[in-house]
Amino acid sequence: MKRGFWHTAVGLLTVTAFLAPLPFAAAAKIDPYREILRQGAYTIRYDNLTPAPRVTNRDRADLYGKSALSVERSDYLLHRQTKGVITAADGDRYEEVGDDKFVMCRLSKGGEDFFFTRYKKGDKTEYYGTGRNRVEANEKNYFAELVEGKSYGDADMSALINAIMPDGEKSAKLGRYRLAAAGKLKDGGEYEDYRAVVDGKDKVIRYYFNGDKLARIASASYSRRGDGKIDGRKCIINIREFSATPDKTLLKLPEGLKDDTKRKAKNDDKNAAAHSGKNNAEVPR
Amino acid sequence: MKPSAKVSAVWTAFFLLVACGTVCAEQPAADEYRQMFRAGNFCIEFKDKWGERVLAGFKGMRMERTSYRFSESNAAWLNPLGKIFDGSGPQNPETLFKDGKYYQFVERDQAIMCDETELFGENLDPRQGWDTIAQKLALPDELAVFYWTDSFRKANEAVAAPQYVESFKKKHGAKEYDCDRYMGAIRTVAGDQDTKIVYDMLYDEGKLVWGESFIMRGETIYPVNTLEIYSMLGKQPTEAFKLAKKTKVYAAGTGDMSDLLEKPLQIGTMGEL
Repeated sequence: MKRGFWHTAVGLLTVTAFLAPLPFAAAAKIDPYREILRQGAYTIRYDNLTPAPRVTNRDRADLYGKSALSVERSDYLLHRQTKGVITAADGDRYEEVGDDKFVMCRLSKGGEDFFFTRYKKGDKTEYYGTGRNRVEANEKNYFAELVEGKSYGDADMSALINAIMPDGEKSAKLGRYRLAAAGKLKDGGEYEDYRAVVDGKDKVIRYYFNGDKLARIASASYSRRGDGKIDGRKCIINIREFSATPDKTLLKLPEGLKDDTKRKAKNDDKNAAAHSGKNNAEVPR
Repeated sequence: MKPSAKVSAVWTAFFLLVACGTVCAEQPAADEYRQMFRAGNFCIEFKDKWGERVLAGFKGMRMERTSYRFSESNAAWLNPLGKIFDGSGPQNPETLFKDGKYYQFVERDQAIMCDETELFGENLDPRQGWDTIAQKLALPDELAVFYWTDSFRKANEAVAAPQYVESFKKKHGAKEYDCDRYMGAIRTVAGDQDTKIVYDMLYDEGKLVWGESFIMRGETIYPVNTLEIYSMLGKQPTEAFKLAKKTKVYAAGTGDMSDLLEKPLQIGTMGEL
């Protein structure tokens, strides 16, 4: 990684460290975006300009699994820039990350997760779930989502979006981000910097705005390892769309992909309600 | 109040407490499980949503296998002659931790090995799955309520160790069981502890048979897992650690020339190591 980048990152961290850690400012530019996410109806389209790093054994998976799409485990996507789409409405969500040829997708619908990939073969589009052009639903991993945070495409984007969620609505694992600086840029744009220390890593995120529109996100995180080496990651995201309008065409399985799930007959046993993922008025006993 | 009324009130209170004690207390087997896991000598056969598994610990060793019947190989069972030609040897585990080394048995007679001190090595091939190997050997969450500090589990700071809350009768399918409930808070950044992870341990005649877990967030319940326990205390763990001594052991790939040439380096056999 270029030395210049690290100088900038360390400089940025040093400057922000001296600023009093303010809570989310009363009228921060990021606020409307947080509210859009909390309302649960949105579409986000982005480009991750920084290819995912090769996963190593230092990034050990958590007991409860990962919630973000595992782009770093795809040999094809590993060293490529990716595009992502996340859309949600009425409790259902769809996410995809990939490029023009290969896309990883997840549709979460009615407490079930459908994982599949989409390939471009010449002019044709093919899907692969549990087989060619067919997919079976998995039970949704609520625990991973709760502990790791909601997934917003790849792991980078998920971390950058979860950072702006209120402290009371995300797991303690995700870090306490505070507004560290805000200002104007020479080109007329504005920015807000948020900072947190998560797992001993210093993390700084800069959200760029054109007027009130979220345009880009840049982040740097670093820590020093026992041997003195710097361990870090930078990431640049270009936001193409961040709106409160869900793309409902994406919130169903695409045509040409068959749902092959063998679902059990519904059990009327009251006890089974504990395993339905639905609202229950009282604790199931 | 008359003195006699006071005495009878005290007695009533006493009997109520005793009665409550017999109904509300944790199952006696819970303490046995605690001691068993702490001592590290156990053999559990269970099924969860990922399949049937055997997990055993003995003198600091740990093993795991996804097919839970480990007495004889299927080949031997299907074909009596197999006993002579095939099935007489012990069936290896799928994952093993022994003497500070992790083993993954990739073929019937092949294993790859990585020292625990090298498990975090950046050069290990990520596709070999060393990052999840300790989890495979960890107690499943539902059983970890008895031993939350199991060294193979990767602690998550957001999830507090579950504590015993209450006992009651709970139905699973058509049958009613004695249920011990354990709860742990999932903390938010703000420190709220309103979301809980709940583990219901269901006992039949004093034996643990089901473990159910779910997340409780306000009035909403999210399912997590259901564990069916086939056996917990019955089997000697030593049986699970019988290894085929001729199994060839290879070093974990670190992206070196032998990896590139796809010729892993053999470092010995199971019998020698």
